[in-house]
Amino acid sequence: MHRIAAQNSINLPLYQIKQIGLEGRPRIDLKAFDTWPPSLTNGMPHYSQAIFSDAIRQLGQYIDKLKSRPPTGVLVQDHHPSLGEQLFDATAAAKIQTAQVAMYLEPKWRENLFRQLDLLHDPDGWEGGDLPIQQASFATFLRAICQIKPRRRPGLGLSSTGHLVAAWVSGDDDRLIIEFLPADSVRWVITRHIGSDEERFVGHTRAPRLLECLTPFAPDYWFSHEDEARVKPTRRTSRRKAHPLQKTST
Amino acid sequence: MRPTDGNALSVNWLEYFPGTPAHQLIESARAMGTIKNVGKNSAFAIGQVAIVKDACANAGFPVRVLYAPSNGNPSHSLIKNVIEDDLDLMATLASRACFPVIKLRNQIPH
Repeated sequence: MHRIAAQNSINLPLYQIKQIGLEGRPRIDLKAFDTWPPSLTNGMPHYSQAIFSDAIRQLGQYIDKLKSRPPTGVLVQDHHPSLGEQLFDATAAAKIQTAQVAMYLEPKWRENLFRQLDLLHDPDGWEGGDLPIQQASFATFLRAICQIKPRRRPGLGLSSTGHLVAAWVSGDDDRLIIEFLPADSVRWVITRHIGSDEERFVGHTRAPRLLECLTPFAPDYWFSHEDEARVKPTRRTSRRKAHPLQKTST
Repeated sequence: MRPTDGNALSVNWLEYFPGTPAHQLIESARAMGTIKNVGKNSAFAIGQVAIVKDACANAGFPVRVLYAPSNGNPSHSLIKNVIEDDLDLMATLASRACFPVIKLRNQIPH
């Protein structure tokens, strides 16, 4: 196993590739993003850098291939499956999808994700007519999560049409809710409280652009833990640059 | 919500039942259990009609709350004009109109 440092046009190491000797499959170590010195990132939050990396684009292509691949290990039965079997098959397919990108997820993250999927598909209390988690929706979720790499795990829900919904709550009941649709489509809504006012922002974009769309709303406020530097986004989320002819005080 | 709900959110009118709030909750949960499969992870969100209507109207989604008893659930009511697919409206209801959330099955005596 050897390590290769790849460099971009301004001679900065973007990521390191570890080649697994036996399988020969390149393994991309995304931890290098966390070590970029602030002076080289122009003070931008490290999440923003993930948007532009070749590593993430390659990861996205890899996940695209998984979506078109039928799940393995699914038992074909010629009898009509019971509710329990349908739910089990759906969660098993989702776990197989997850396992194929497991190298990009923390083990604890993965364990909790599986536990949440099981809870969502508990036959006890399942509403007749609802659809279990749809593979296309889950693929969109995986793509978004592998790109964003949130440190905080979301609460998960399931729409009646089998679309996965993730929710982060922060501060005074501020919420980020994202619904993952097929074909890499995502809908999101932000609710935040500024004093006694409540503001809501709604968006609809594609998973690769989700982080960029959330950048004005300080994604660290949602995705980081409380003990990390989290700044509640204020009304004024963009810094106005001084006009070149404007005098500044010293 | 589901497409078959016809743009109406199904709710229970707590005050239909007499007694203390705890008793009202138990009876509502029991009534709900006669028409829906109440699992151990099911939960009640409690809201006030005036706050629900105000919150939705201020968000640009005026709704109507109607008493609509059904077989087995005499306290059944509907919040009409709730667009199923509207994330903004759903977020409004979740954030401003419905609290707290109480586990449902715990309210049904064994």
